[in-house]
Amino acid sequence: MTDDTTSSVSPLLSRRNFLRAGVLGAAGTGVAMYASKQAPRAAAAAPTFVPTKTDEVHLVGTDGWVSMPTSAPPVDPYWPDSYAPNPYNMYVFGFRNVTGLSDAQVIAQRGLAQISAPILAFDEGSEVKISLTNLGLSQRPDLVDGHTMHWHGFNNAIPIFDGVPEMSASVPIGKTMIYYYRPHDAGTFMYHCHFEDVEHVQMGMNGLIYVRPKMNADGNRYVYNDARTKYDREFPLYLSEVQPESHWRDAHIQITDWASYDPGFSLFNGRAYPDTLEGTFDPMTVYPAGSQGERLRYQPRGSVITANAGETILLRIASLGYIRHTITLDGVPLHVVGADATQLIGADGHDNSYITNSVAVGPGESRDVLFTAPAPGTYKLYDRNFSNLSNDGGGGYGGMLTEIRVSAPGTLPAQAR
Amino acid sequence: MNLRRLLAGGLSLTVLTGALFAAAASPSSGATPIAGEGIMCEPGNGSYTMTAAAGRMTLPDGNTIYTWGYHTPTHDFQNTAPTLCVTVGTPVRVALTNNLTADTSLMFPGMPNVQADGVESAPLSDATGRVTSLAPIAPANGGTVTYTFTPNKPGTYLYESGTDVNTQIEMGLYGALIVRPAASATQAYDDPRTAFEPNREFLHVLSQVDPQIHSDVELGKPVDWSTYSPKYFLLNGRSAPDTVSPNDAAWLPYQPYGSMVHVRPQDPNGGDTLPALVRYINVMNTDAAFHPHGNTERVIAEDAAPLDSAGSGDSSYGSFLVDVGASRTVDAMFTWYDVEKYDPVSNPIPVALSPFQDIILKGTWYAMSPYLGLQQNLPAGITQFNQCGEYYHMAHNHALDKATNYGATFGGQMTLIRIDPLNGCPAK
Amino acid sequence: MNSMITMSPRAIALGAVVALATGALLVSSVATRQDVHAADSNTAVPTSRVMEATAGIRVLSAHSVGDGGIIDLRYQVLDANKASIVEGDVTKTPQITDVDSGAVLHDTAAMRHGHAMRPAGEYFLLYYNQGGSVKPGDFINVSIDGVTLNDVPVT
Repeated sequence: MTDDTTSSVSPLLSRRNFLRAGVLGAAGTGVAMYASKQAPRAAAAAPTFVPTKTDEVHLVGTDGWVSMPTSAPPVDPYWPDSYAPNPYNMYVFGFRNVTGLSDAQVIAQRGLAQISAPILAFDEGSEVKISLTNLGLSQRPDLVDGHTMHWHGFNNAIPIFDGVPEMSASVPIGKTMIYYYRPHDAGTFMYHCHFEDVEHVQMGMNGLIYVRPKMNADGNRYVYNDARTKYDREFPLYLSEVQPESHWRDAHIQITDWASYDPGFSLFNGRAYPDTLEGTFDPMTVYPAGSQGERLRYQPRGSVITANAGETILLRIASLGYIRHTITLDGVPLHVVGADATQLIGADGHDNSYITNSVAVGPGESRDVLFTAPAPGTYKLYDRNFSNLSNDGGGGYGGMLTEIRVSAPGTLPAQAR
Repeated sequence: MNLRRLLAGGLSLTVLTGALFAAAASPSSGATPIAGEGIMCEPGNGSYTMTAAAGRMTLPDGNTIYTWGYHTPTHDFQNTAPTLCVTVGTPVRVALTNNLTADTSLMFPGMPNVQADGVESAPLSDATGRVTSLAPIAPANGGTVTYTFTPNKPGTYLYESGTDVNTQIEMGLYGALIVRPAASATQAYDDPRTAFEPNREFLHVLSQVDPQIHSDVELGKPVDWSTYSPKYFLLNGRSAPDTVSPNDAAWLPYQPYGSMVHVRPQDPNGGDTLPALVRYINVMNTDAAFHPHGNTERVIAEDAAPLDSAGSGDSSYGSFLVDVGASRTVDAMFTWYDVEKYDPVSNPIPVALSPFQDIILKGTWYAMSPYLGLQQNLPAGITQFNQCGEYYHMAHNHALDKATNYGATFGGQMTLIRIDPLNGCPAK
Repeated sequence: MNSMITMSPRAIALGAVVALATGALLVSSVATRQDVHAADSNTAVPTSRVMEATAGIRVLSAHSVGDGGIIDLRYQVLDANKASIVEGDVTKTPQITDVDSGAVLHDTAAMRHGHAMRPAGEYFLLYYNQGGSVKPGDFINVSIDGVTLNDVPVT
């Protein structure tokens, strides 16, 4: 490992002449047209871009081991993986958020990847610097794979920060690159490594990015800059699948035929049911031997949704799996207000949001879904494609299934922002 | 080179000479057609002589696949079938000759009152009443049938075989039918808001190939769909990176259609003033989620139905994953704004460039200037890496197993979006 | 599974070229620019026995794509171990030199196509065409690891 990991954030160059007027585009000609996503025009009116704040995040990319539910039937030899250290059973690649850690701590995270990736949350109009350090692969020192940060869905992206190795750059082992963004659009985005994407995404290098709207400055919480998108609590519902055979092949220096994709586990936030019901853990914490915390610390996020009756709940649903999922919440109407980080309104402002009992989410798509927490009780949230409700073909329930636990009004304190 | 195609089309000498190769020396102006790019309409003005035939296609990994296709006299064989661009109210005539060893037919879903040899094109049945074909056939080994119809609604349509459809569509019998509104050839629909930048009209036909099926058909063996496992995923009949070769590239004689999307920034001081139009057609039996990098697209129509019907609100929507259901079509608008207007001197990218230089010096796959249109006043250590400082983004199926060539990454249903500097890419 | 791997027309044509070129062995470049006319689709692609022996690859074609912004170099892997340097060792990425202008391209959008190359498989390198310096009709020299193949036609 070189010293490059320590110089992850370099001093800024002085910034001059930021966003200037002149990006009005054809909208200014008076001819209405259908354009794809533009930056907000309000920003263009200002002579300089004044970020509301600066967020600096340090991510590392590396490999590691996680645990799928141990009750699933073994599929010899692919799962559980014989190379896996106890109590883990599957090889992964992943990101870790190491912001604020010492150099020694950062380097020590080699081989300790997590799935799904750490959730990143930024404010519209802020400036964002994401340093990505490639720590290499502890299990596969023979590989010299780069890693990248692809902000999936970022509007008007420039290639250098789009993270596609063929189009710009990848980060070699032992190096750090800073990705710079000014998010001008609120919504639910994703990020993933785009280096040999079919492999690195499948192996676990994928997760969520929230961009919160400027309107949140009024003290409330909105999905978009529209009062109709106000909510009380938000929860991530991040969808992916894993194909154990591919993970085993990567650990055992073999090649996968990606055209024969057939996943074994379907995941909410990096875990399959019943692990989705376990708590949220911290990869930096040492948990007692034999505890769920020890087993799931590298799949840190649980998926239980808690609410008080009558509250408006936001589900940020997004998928970087390779197949389509249809999410339902039994008996509770779901109000889809945004798709692919775009509010569902027409070019004329017409409200195109809709009420449904099932939300289809395809590969790479996101949906912003509001619902009103029903009467106190426990409700099931799951994929209506029932083939994704088993673990590795076993009997019983597994995969994309979790619970909504509703309490009486006033029971739970307000969700921390 | 498909000289006959050019002659048959009566194209100008300028186009003839330019189409021989990628037009490296042409300025890339929105108002000027770029030879070898964009949607390539079959010459014929609504009257086409089509042959169903067997041939071969090549894949970037060197594989050669036996395949079927429709072609006109402009090509000896082709996959995807000729793109038919017709106009509302103008009669269309397609005379089909079947040189395959199996009966075949043509279906034009969405077209009104289609006639086959002068009678209604309706499904055929055998004596027991079971369907044998969804459209009147041209019998195997030289049979003919002529289909006529007059399109009444603009939009993007899929035409395909109506006989033994599962196998024949897998084998390659499909193509795009573009119906233009009578009012304007540069609007997708009657609504003036669907106007697109002239010569910024692009086609993405998504299909797939299971080589085992093609082999079985070639050898006359029974086809076993229970083991269906496509290995190649095509965009306009090509697999990446062949997708960014120009239309009618000499090295892809039977796969004439490229799919690179090519724009300039939307800007009042130059560049494009209207969006580009991307017409998506999914021939596969599964849904597709197609991801244009660079910007969210606005979906304006599905299945040739505009999402802004008269008397109701606009229901178009933004999407960074364009959902195209099986056998469906979607029209989407793409624009790109140079929001930050980074400039190496007056407005540098506000993070230190040293890591990039470090990466360059240490030697890795860093290959493009971070600045659009960078041609002069370069800071020390930064050189221009591309033709004229243009940007390239990817666009690909985000079911990433379909962005592969027989499992190898950076292939399949993938193409590039090229963004030229504001004033185009000057001739060198 | 796949019973359809056959030689492409390109590969067959190249086989013929190899047969013609067998008289000129063990020089780093066996073919010469055939005439002063622009390269076109009928211009044969030369072969280098030395390159095949040392780098384990045979250059198949060079095309100008992406409206002239990208040069698409295709090659066939003859020896998968030796060929691994082409994309596995960034210091040995093949370099393109335009015969007429002398312009050099070395910035590729290369990425390894999976973790292992398949013998007889065909692969590609995409080069950013710096300054638009390589045009259809040009000839280029392709160098890898000290071995140069001269006069590859660009179409």
